[in-house]
Formats: sequence, structure tokens, C-alpha cells
Amino acid sequence: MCAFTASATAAEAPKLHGFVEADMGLKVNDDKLASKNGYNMAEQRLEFKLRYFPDELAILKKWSTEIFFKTDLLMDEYTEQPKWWGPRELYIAFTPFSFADVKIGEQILTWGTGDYIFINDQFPKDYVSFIIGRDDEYLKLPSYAGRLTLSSSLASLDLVAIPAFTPNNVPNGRRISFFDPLLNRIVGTQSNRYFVEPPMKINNTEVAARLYGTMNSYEWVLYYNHGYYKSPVGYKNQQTGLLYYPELDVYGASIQGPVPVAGGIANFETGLLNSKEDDYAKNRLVQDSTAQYLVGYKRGFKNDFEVGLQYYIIQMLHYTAYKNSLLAGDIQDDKVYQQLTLRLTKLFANQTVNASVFVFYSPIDHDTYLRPSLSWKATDAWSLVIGGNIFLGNQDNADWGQYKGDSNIYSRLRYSY
Amino acid sequence: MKRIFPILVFLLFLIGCWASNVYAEDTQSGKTAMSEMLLAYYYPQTDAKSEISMRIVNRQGQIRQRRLTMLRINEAPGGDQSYYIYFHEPADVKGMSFLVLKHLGRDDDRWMYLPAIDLVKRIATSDKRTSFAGSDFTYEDVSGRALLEDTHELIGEEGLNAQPCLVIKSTPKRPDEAGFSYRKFWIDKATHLPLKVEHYDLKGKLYKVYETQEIKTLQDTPTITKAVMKDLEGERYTEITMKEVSYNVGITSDIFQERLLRRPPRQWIGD
Repeated sequence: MCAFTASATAAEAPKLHGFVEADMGLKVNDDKLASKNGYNMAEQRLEFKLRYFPDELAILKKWSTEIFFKTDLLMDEYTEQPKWWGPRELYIAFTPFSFADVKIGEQILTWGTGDYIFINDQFPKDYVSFIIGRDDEYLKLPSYAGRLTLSSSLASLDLVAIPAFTPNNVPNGRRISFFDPLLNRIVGTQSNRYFVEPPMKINNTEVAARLYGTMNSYEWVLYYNHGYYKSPVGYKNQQTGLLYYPELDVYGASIQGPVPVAGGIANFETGLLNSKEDDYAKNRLVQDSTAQYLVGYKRGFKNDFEVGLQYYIIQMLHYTAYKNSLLAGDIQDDKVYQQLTLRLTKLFANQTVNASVFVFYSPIDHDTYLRPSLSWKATDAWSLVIGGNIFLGNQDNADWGQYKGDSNIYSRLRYSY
Repeated sequence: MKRIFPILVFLLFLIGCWASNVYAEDTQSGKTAMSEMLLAYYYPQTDAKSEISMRIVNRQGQIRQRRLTMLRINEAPGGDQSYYIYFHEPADVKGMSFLVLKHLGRDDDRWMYLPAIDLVKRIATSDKRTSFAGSDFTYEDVSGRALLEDTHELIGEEGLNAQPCLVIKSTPKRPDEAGFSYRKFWIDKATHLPLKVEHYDLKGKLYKVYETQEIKTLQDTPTITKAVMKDLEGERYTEITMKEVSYNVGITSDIFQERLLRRPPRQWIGD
């Protein structure tokens, strides 16, 4: 009666997908400190991704095994060299038991409830890509990890082991000028800092765990991280500019769900970041432990309009000890740091045009980071994005204000296949 | 003066009758037909897997294509449902997936998964009138309006393409919230499936027309396999084709969790 052929036959050859794009980012308030003036992004990128099901082996087929490979070929005119990025993702995933999923290899890991704010997501990030205007996807860096997910209808558990450390890519002056506390001013190429990564040893394996479930539309999560800060927030040797990634344990929780009557989704996330080498803030060379809180709310309105708000607090836990540990000339941080964010998104023309702005604002440092963007899906394959990364603030050592000489507008033309 | 009182009561009674005719036009036959339509259209069998293609054609004749797999399970006939939607095409959204837990009487729970950043995102959009994947179908068109949100009146019987149909006028109890003044359904008497739906805007003007183009009986279940939604103002239309529909494939409600988003079930999604 029905002439439908069998769906998705396993014998099909794996199909290649990806995109090719050209990106350009011009500095609008150039402080001429980084290695090139006028622009901070000029690149062409070719992405390939391939998914393969090794069904030839019965056991692998039974476990619905897949191998996924994704890589970028980047021609970066800023660094004047073609750069083979190596695989961005290369993993094998399988389901050995009905309740267990395993994923081993280079993979992107993300969890937590924040929008561009990460408390319990301690996985590596690329803040340089974020600031120069690359696609959002490049904010996340892959980890070399093994992930086990155990699922049940009551709760699920993610266990992640990361044997090879991957740090955040933070501004170092070559492409993005920043406030260097060693020189006590905003610097670019003059910055002379070295980062030392924890060596790859069994004992240095990082562990991340998440226990989660949903009850009556409300998602609850408990988090645990054992490893290192992903940004270099400790000094090995202040005189020689040697920085490192101190040990860090994080204990956290979050809840997310609908708001009665008003509608929309609210979230609350908290984390205790225990900086183990800081010795209760007696060690002035290492970041103090903090308690962090995030409250968020987002709501959709008619005609594809959405608003999101967040309030983020970082509280230093041993402030008196921290103050007493400071030497003359050290910059004293505030005990409580606060940040507000706003996201506005509006879709037009049958969802082919997306106008959005994301704003970070700190009432403590009085600095602002604006991320406006306008994207247009001209066809199913072609898209064009124009956007900006605008930093405002008078305080040179403020979180966002320090990048004011890096503000940029960018464009991206992409063809997906 | 005393005599005026019973007259007033009588007048109020008359006004009441008139008002109830205008505002509460729920007729038993209308409601029954609508309830049968909802069950036949949105709830056939306990679970279903569909391979769906959409062709969105705009005023200039430019075509956009969507290809997706949808899994559905009913918690109870006419009650809560769970949906999972996986996008195969276009290339830039390939692998993106959605999880929708549809609740009667309160907002649905919706999640979206972006594979490139391994992000499971809770969707805050409570407006069901937003377009589904950029097409002329809204989320509401895809997942249905609850029976009690509208009043349903049988206004006649008509043949449509030689099929005898019941014609139902369905009026939202809160038109401003619904965003339209009423819809007119042509419901096939034999299959209870809608053959045509006219949508009238708040000013009473026809602005959107749905038409069923093909019905096939699959696993003893009459199933719409081809339909079109025309946007009269935008001069656009979306064609939806069910490439394959299978019922009772063994989907269980406990799989509708985050895991489904992060690891698409290959036995149903393929690829």
C-alpha cells in the first residue's frame, strides 16, 4: 500500500558537511598596542564535519556507535599564516547499556544555566575569539575527555574525566590589548607574561560531574568540578612574569523553570569556587576563593521578540585576609563584584533576519560591553552577519573597560553545505 | 413602577438569550466534531515517527527547504504529549533538535540543542503563534490548540472535493490572546481529518488558508501526507510532505529527556 523505502539505510556513505566563510573585523577605537593596527580579524575558514557509523563490527552496531570528526582549515591573515586547526572535535560515542552513553575523545562540553556567564561550566573557553567577533561557537574550546552519562527517569548523572589540560585562550596583548597588572597599565605586545600549564599526569586528571533531573517543568542540577582554573590567575614568579593555573574545586547547584503567572523562564545558579592553593587568601599570588550567584529571567513576546536579563555576583570569601596579604602597589579588588546583562532578540522577515544585542554592565566598575549583531539568512546556504564588540569604561583595570582599545565591528559571509 | 420589574427581568432574559447565542455558541455537535478532529489529526495511535519535508516559497518564488524527523507520544488521548524534532536540513541547522513537552492548560516545556557548542537551551517563548522553523505554520498549527480554548459551532455541511464535510466555526474565548477572530474548519466526515482551515484575523479578514492535499491510510490510520498553508497577505506558502509515517514504533515517554537531544536515537533518526 505504501511505497516508502526503508529509512536511512546504514550502508549509505557518510556525507560531508560544513561551511566556508570570510570574516573581517575592523577596530573602531584602535589603541595601536596590539601587533597589527586597524583590524583584529581577517580570516577565511573552511569547516568539514563527518559522521561515520562503524556498523561493520556487530558489537559497535549493537552499541549504535558513531565516530564524529570536525575540523577547520583557517587562513588567518592577522597572524599571516595558514593554520590547520587540527580536529575541533574527534570522538567516538556509543551506548553499551540502555542506560549508559559513553563519549571519548576531543569534544565540546557545556553545562550550566548562564547566558555567556559560566559558574559551574569550567570547560575551556576562547575569549579572544569572543572579543574579535568570531561565531559564538568558537567561544567554546574542545576538551580531551571521556564522558559517561547514566540516565534514569528520576535523575541522570554525567561523569567527565579530562586527562589533558586545556586552558582558556585569554587576551595576551598580541591581538587584544588588555590590562596587565604586572605593568599596571593597558598593554599590547609589550606584555611579557608566560603561562605554565599543569603537566599531563594521572594525578592531574580533571574531573567534572553533574547530577540532574526535571520535576514538574523545573530542572535541578548539582555540579562538581575538580581541577584547575582555566585562566592563569596565579603567579609562580611575579618578577619574571610567570603565571600558572592554580588548583580549583567547584561545588554548585542550579534550578531553572517557568515563572507562574508572568510566564517566561527563570534560573538560579550558584557555585563555591574553592581556590585550594590560596590558603584562605593568605597567599597574595593566587586568586581568592569566591562564592558566585547568578539569577536570570527570559521571556518571549509576540512576533519573535525575546528579552533576557541576568544578575551576577562574585563574592570574595576571605576578604580581610586578602586585604592584609596585599603589598603596597597591589591593586585591591572589591569584595563583591556585580554584573548585569541584557539580551534583546528580534526576528524579522519570517525568521530570516535576526537583530540582537547583548549587554554586559558592571555597576561596580562602571564598564560596559555591547555585542550588537544583525544576521540575514539570504538563502538556506548563504548567510551574512554584521556585528560589533564595543567596550566602554574609564577604569583601565575593569573587566570590560580594559578592552576599550579593541572595540570592533565585524562582518561574516558564510556558505553552508 | 412595580410592574416594570417583571418586564425588566423579561428583557434581561431576552438579552441573556441573545448574548448567549452570540458569545457562547458552543454547540454539542460542533464540539464533538472538533474533538474528533483533534484526536484524528494530532493524536492518532499512541506514538508516531514522521519524516517531514517542508518547502517554504516566498513572494519572489524563492524556495527554502526543511527536512526533519518528528517523534511523538501521547500521555493520554487528547491530553499531554511529548514531541522530539530533529533537523536534517538545511545544512546550517543540521543536528539541531527540539524537545517539547506539551501540557494542556499551561505553557509547554521546550528545549533546544545546539550540537556545535553542546548546549541544551531552555526556550522561553510562550507565544505559540510564532512561526515553526520559519514556515507559514505556527507552533500552534503544528501541535494544536486545546479544545476548551475555543467555542465550536457546527454551521453546516458541505462537500469538498466530493468529500462530505462538517463545517465548524471555531471562535477563541480570548481572541486578543489568540491573535485571530475565528477559524473555519472543513472536517472530513469519514476520517475526521481537516481538509481545509480558514483563518480570519481580528478584523474578520481571511488571512491564512490550510489545505490537505493527500490522505493515505497507513497502518489502518488515515493520515495526512501532504498539505499546504497559504499566507494570503504575504503571498507565501509552505508545503508540508510526510515522506514516511510509522505508528507504534515503540517510543516510550521516559526517553523524552535531555539525553535524547545530546544523543539522537539512531534507530528512528537514521543518518
